Amino acid sequence: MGILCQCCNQANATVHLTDIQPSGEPVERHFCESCAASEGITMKPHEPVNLMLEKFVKMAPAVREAAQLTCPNCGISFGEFRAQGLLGCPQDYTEFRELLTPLIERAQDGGERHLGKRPGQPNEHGKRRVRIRSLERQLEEAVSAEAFEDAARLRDELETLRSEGKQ
Amino acid sequence: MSVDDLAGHVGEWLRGTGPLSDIVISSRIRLARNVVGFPFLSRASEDDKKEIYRSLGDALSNAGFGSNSFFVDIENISDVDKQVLVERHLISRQHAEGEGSRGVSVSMNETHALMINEEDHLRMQVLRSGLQLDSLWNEIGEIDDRLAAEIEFAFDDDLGYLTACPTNVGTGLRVSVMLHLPALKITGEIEKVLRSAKDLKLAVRGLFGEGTDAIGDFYQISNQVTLGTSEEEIIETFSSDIIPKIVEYEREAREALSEQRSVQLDDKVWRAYGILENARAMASEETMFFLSHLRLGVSMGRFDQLDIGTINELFLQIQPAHLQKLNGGKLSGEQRSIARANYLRERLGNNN
Repeated sequence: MGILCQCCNQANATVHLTDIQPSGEPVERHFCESCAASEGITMKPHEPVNLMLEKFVKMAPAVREAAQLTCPNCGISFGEFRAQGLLGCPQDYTEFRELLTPLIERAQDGGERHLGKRPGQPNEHGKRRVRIRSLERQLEEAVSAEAFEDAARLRDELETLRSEGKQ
Repeated sequence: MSVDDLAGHVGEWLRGTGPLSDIVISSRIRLARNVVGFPFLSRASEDDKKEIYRSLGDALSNAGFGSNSFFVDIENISDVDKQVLVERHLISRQHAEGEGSRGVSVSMNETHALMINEEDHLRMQVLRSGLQLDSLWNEIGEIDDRLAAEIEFAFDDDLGYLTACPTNVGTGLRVSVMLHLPALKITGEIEKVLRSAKDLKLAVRGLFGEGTDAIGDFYQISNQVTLGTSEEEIIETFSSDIIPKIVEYEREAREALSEQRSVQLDDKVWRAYGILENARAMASEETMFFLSHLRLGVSMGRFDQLDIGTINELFLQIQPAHLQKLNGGKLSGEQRSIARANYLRERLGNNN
């Protein structure tokens, strides 16, 4: 049997403190974990250590497996990519798609689909977006200048452009 | 044309002309592309690199980039020559320090530079003085189209242009605008501006790109998002929104300085001039610091013995590799400081 907590006198004391008094005299104090936490001496762990360990052990094989996934074309493993930040060949985007998607979304501020130029094709989407933004700015200016006829015309133009985009 | 011929004059991006050129030093757009059928460079053998180098070289000449351009074989030039190209922003540091077959095709007026075997197989960039993103986009779009007619680039329907690093995937586009913001630095508001730029998912770097400090009060603002948005949208946000706003902040800071602290402002400008035209040994960083104050004085009309173009040129010529080219030989750090001070005294017209 160990020392009882000096606070609740029920549980075993597991936190032991030695305070040095101004006189230089050492004074020992003994608390159980929950009293130590409520006294503000220790922080309550968010998760019991055994649970954290268990999660870690369960996660490890999945991480190891992912790191070992290898592209049959260039031979790079996902782990190697993670270490150097550079992919080995264009096919990696297909081979590692599942693992790459969350990384790409994070790096690209949520972007997941290409909306830009395509080889050999004019980019209608981009041009329309730019036209919409420019009209929006003109509309704002027209409204603040109280040029309501212009504003109405601009609003109609914007609506047409926006509905074209949805087709 | 060779690297030697470049060093004597000033490149396009420092000409000091174009819209907002008192504050916007230069605009740059680059596109990253990779050739179908080859691994990315981190997994490419030396033979692969040679083959990519040859294929892209052929595509360039078939697309008509042989005339009015010159080609530099980076693998086989001296370190000083590589550094000259870096200082002129024609190649990246990474390209200079890389290994194996690699090169760059530069237009005679230095408005475009097409790097082969950098981080991606091809990195095309176009440069202009001042804020001129729309014309740059037309220019680089045309270069891209001409090359795409000769060689196939790796492209995926969902993900767009495939790049070695997923942070470039999609458009492969990076817009970079170099700003000179000395007044915001003096008033201490620069941190606030840079923080809001970062909140907008923009990268802020120094004069020579990634990992360099903002010496001389130069700040390079670039987009980081390349997927889920079109090239035109990225460019439009820069030219109608982000850059005009920062320019406006800098102008307000300049106005506040001239209204509330005009003596201190003139003192900074004239001290800078005094040191630059009299010192006997100048390190590159302190030279940039003083040239920055002098540039502020010139662009605010408080100092009329020099023009912006000349100061921009000085910024370039005092860089280590340019200085060595001007002196016709390798110089130690101490010798460079002396050569730099001599050059500045000569250019600033003091014969003391």
